[in-house]
Amino acid sequence: MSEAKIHDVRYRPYDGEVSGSSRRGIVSMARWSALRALGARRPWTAKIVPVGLAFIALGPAITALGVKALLGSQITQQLPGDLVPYGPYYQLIGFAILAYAAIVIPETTCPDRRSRVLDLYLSTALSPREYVLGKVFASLVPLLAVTTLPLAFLYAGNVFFATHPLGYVQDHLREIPAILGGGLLIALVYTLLGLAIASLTSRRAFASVGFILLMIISGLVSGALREVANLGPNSRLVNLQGLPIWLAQKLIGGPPSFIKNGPLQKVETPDVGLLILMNAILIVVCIGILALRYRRSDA
Amino acid sequence: MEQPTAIEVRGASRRYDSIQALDNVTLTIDAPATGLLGQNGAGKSTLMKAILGLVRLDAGEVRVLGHDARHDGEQVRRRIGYAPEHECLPPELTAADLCRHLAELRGLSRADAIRRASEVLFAVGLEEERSRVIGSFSLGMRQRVKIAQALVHAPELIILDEPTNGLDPTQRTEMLDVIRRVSRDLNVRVLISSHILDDIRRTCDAVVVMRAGAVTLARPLAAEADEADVLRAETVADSAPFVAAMTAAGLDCTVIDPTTTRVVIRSERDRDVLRDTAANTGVGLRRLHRDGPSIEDELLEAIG
Repeated sequence: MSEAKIHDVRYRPYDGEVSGSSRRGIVSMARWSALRALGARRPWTAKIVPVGLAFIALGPAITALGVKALLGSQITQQLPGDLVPYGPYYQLIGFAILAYAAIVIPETTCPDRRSRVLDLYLSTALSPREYVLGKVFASLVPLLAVTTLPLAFLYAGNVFFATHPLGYVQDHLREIPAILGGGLLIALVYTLLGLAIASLTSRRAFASVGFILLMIISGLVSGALREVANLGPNSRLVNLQGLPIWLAQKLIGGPPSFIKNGPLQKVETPDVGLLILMNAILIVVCIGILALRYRRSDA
Repeated sequence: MEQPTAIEVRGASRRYDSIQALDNVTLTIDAPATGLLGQNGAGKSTLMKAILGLVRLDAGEVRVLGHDARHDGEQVRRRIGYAPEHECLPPELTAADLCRHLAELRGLSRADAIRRASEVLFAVGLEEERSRVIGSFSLGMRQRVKIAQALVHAPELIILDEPTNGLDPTQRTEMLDVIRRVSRDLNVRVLISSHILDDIRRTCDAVVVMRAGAVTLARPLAAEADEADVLRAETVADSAPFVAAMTAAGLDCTVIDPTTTRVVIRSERDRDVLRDTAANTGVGLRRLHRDGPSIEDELLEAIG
């Protein structure tokens, strides 16, 4: 028989522990914001976009592993390379990553400004820096489900379908930190960019449109630089659609897909050093915008 | 253990461009419930933000529960609760979830936050509605949620900025009852700002009046009942037998003219004696009113 407890809910002076550390506040802010952005405790329509994009990102991995499951490892091993290699995988799911950053990330911060809850939060012991940190975690962790989870899933599937799983892991050991680091890099850059744009408005729709416009404009500028200034691959350094993705691809490395044309074709990208520099600049600019937008104006 | 003084303000000044929001404000607030009274723009909100450590002062200092509000702002905000005047509640969250979230932000563990959310919502009369989303609440209910979230971490002091704004008379009465209960029954010191004199009189033990950034009056309200009340009694006919009877009964009377007498009332018994004497001597009382300015007059003059 289970034990039942009767709780007295009347107001009593509280004599429990009150943590003086900011960690609990940051974790709480991150958890509640992530739940809201993912549509938890809200109608099912609010869950469609984040869940749908996560499934879209998983799609190529599921397809590749499905083909392996159907054809069997004997046949797939005869192919000249991986159907969906780790490096170019991001080219397939770039749309899902950008759509997630454009649509889901503003949901973590814009409603706080719109309903003026931000004032209430900042009247507690939570500092603006801790608030932003909570929002970064709230955006970053779910975005990892779009950037890192599919490749981790693909890697696990490849190990599972390999004739010698241990041998596969030994041959592809280098890919494990590269997949984790690359996914983290992409998620971090687009999290900060999404939050920086969202910090400029209280309307989620404006933040989403602003993010999409920035992607389109940077792509157009990059194209113009390539055609007019003849900058070659370095023209891509201003293209925010792919800046962290190309760096992650370079980190992961590996051979391109044996399918020569289509979305997996090899793209000429700038040197690693320049990509690291531009990503670092982008991160610093985003942090600067967030610091400006979330400073206490009068204290 | 002796509680530290709730709020001490010394020479606080703050200017915004051409507006002197706080002008050398010095005061001590330590009553169970203190009203901050003043017209819009009198400096009430700036003073409250200075108490929360959210406003940098040009001069002076604010100490809250023994801490410097400017330099120990985080510590101060951990020990006090605040309910802003404006709409500040997320409409998609339930009342219980909001209180729980804010309790966690203020350092309570998840289990304690859940329990405290239930307790404070019970305390403000929202126990039945705790699982409803705030967006479906009436204005009065939302104001109660604001008080509940301010109480959730068991603060020693809560600051309520215009808590009755926009409420209809019934909601207003209920809100004032809640505020009174917080200071009297829950033993939490309350600072409430309002521009409505009646709200302060019904809920507070002391009042601070502000005008143009300066304190124009700071006095206890509860002491008023202990002070002698000087009444002016105007009679229809000659008041001589009435005055003689009252003097014989021990009341302090001063005849101003044949039909007007000043009477000092020190207790409820004196008030009864006055009424009974008028009836027994058959002297018709035409008017009975306070001699000199009332507290309302005093406060209204201070408000400006």
